[in-house]
Amino acid sequence: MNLLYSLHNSFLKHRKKNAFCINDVFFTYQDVLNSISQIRDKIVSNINTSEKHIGLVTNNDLETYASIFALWMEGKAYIPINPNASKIRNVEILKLIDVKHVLDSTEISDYSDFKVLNTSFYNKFKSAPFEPIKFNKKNNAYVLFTSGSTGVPKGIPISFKNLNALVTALDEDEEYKLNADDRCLQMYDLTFDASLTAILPALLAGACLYTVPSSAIKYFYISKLLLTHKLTVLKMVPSIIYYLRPYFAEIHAPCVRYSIFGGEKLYIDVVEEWRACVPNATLLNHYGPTEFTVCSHYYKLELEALKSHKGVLSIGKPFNKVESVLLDSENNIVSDNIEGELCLSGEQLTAGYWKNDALNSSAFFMHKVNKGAEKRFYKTGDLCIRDHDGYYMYVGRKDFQVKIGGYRVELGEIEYHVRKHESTKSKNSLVIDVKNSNNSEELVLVIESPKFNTDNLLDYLKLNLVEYMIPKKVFFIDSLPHNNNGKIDRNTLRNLIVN
Amino acid sequence: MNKEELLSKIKKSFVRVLEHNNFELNNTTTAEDVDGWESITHMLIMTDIEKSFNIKFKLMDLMSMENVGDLLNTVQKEIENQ
Repeated sequence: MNLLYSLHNSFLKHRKKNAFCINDVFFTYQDVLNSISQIRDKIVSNINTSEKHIGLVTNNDLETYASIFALWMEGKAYIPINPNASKIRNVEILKLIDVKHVLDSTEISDYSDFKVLNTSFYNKFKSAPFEPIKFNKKNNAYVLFTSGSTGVPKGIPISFKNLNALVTALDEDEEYKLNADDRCLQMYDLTFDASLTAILPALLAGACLYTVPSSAIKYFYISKLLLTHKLTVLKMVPSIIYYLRPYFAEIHAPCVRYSIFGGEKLYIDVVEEWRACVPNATLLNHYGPTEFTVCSHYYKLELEALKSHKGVLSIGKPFNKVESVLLDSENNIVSDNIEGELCLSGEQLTAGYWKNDALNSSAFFMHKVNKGAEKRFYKTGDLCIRDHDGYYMYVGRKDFQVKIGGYRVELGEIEYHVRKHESTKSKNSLVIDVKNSNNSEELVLVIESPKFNTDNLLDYLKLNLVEYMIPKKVFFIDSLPHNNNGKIDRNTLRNLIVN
Repeated sequence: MNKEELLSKIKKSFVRVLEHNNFELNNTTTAEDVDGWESITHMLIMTDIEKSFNIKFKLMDLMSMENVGDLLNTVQKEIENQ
């Protein structure tokens, strides 16, 4: 599939149909086309053809979505920055990748350090759509920045070739086909790549996307959309149903055709109860790292005998064209039912972290599977086992990366900033993830010290980190527990905090 | 229980979950006005209020709650329904 031409054709074919419902206002595919054309005009007249990486402030409006397609159709990549995240961190990200121009639909942009192109008034009048330009498919389509353990966010560039491979893989699944009558949920922030598997299949099919404002309490806003607009396709992070669990008895949504999860561990007991809320839905569990363009494995939930490991649902099997192996520390393939690190190869694989040779040489390696040619693989850091039937089960992380509401967080990045603050500079501290009463992961900052007021410290963290990275609790301890190897015993600490 | 008493009992739930009392609650207060009141803590606050009043919210009510005034009315309605 050629994603851009397919998208462009879908926009033209479905002109009169609704493409988006944003804050209760509907926009047609014609509105999307108008907005794209006008933003493209502005891009062409202001940005040099050779400038490929453009910042995008991810507001919840038509112009922001249209900006993504306008940039793509001009062969450029978007670098999404969340307007609610720390401005210091956003500017750091934009500078890391040498961004000069930022597209922003906000009336008065916060990013005046850069050349800002305002996109806000660009969909009010009709303008002629024009085809995507021709360009090298190795160009980046987007660069996402995720938490980096050294304190500096790491950039993951994804090319049009990578993205084409993803939509082609999704399209190959005969049992997962959206149509122009579907009403689909788009709950993801655009700095989160799972947004693409919500947006692209829907727009390619001519369906309507219902977005969730960032200020909303997400799980309640989603239930409202689901019950009032009778949504038919729900792609969500599992924590949404963990929060809604006490209210499952009030959710009856026979309209849902597909209920797809992705972004974090899916617990089997909750999903089995959720099934009763969406009795006609096909349930799917998606898995994949950002480095491998959103999704590499998926599991279709059968009615019986669900595959799981320690209560966590299987991530299923890889897409047809994905090479997926589990390796031990010496890069040997492990036997069935033995834990190994999941390593991936294929067309969806990123060319490598942005200007980060050290990380690239440790995360990517050449490997020969069976007697085939050597291929470039990526070490995901995710530990899995594979059963005799070829199904993969997620076991845990190899390092200190955790998932908070689906977002990847390197505990090291938070600890780095904690150590820089005056109040904690000379104290032992660490951040750990603890499961809260709603089954979701929560971050706790542990400080080896008598109790003191942490308002200043937390304000400092808010200035430098994204909201979901800020510890929700601070726990003081006289002396940190250590295990036999002299390492901090995180499990004992977790138990102390929970109790 | 009058509205002031309700509000003061509701505030105790907020304080228990958010672990600070650096805020005022009135009818027009929203999550944006209170430090730490967001998606994750919202559910913990609601659960704490349910426990302290021995009531159970309905999803329909929670979905349409936009400020503390709505919350207060919902709590009052649930108490009356008991």
